[in-house]
Amino acid sequence: MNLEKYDEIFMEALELTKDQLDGLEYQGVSSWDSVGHMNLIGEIEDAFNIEMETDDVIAFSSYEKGKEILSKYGVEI
Amino acid sequence: MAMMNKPRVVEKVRKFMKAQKKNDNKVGKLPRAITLNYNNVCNFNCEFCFSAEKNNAHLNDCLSFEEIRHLADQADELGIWEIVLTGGELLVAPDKLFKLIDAFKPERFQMIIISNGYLMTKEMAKKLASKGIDCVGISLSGMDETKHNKERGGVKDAHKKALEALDNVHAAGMAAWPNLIFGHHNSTDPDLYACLDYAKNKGYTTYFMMAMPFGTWKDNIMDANDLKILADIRKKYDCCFDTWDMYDPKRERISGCWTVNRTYITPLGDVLVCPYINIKIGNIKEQSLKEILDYGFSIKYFGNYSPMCISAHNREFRKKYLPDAGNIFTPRDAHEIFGKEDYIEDAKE
Repeated sequence: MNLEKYDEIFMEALELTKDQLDGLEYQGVSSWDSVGHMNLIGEIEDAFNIEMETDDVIAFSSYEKGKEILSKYGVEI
Repeated sequence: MAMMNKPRVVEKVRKFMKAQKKNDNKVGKLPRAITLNYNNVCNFNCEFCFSAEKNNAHLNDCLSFEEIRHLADQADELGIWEIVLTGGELLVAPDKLFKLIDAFKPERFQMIIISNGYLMTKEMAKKLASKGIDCVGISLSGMDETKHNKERGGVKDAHKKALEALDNVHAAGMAAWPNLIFGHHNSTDPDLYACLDYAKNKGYTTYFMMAMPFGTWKDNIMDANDLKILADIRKKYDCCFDTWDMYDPKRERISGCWTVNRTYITPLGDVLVCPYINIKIGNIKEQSLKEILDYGFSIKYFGNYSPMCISAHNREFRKKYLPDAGNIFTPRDAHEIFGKEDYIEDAKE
């Protein structure tokens, strides 16, 4: 359920398809630049009702790393 | 990953985005940026320059670094996260430019330089990146070299150097922004699209400026079709314009005109509501930045939401308050031109 939501946010915020998500890294596609990143984080926070610390926003450097960071906030993907 | 290396900027951008979201995605009264014209000396003589003055009376004027440090501290406290450095052409005096960047403590801001690119060598780009500059906007007329050079006072290789500058900026790890003017004159010009395609292929974000209906472009009145074309361009290309919400992935939302949200400060310290509206709301040598911004936002045209760019598209405003374009060194004083009815009720003057 959470994975589905997580994927949806990535696909919508960064205009990607599901097959582009595995192995995706920050700046790996043109839409995941600093502007896209801030929007992505905002959408994730809204969807999972959390507020990330600045250090985690910066450390959120890949699709996989994001899952790890979210677990700190009690969101298991 | 420039901005991601600046935690203070990330923190401020997030606060800004949350506040904007709460405000129905409208820019409201959130200060975002300062554009500082540090000094007006330039190596070009562009036909369309909005800061040029006929007698060059202010070429020696600039704020002291102490004043700039104080301004930067105030800006940071107010949550301002973007600093745009412009002139003139700041690269003609690199040592002063480096001191200027240091004075802002660039780790606190997204730092942008606007340049004609003529002096942006590979070495200079690397140096600027190492000093904390994140983005560089390079003015381009299009891909037509002859036209570009002519509009810049006939500088022979201006276009070639501008394209090289974008490459040098990009190679140094900064964001390279071709700055393009959009107006009725070029909305269907194939050269505009050639330039947009060039930027797209290079992976650059194009930053649009509107042809302002005064000075060189005084008869350049955009119509509904031009605005539709601009909206279509927004969908098709990676590009920005000031009234657009840059955080909308669908590229539809309009966050509104950013008068006062992004003030323009002249070499004399005068604070104008934006670079293209020569109306002064204060002077940083005389008042705090907060006092100046609060006053600016109390004026209804600037404090209330406007979906259109007031300078480019609100002809009534320009006709009523700016019958003569003037220049940045001879702004009209807001206290003198606005009456009681022009202020937001209950706003503190």
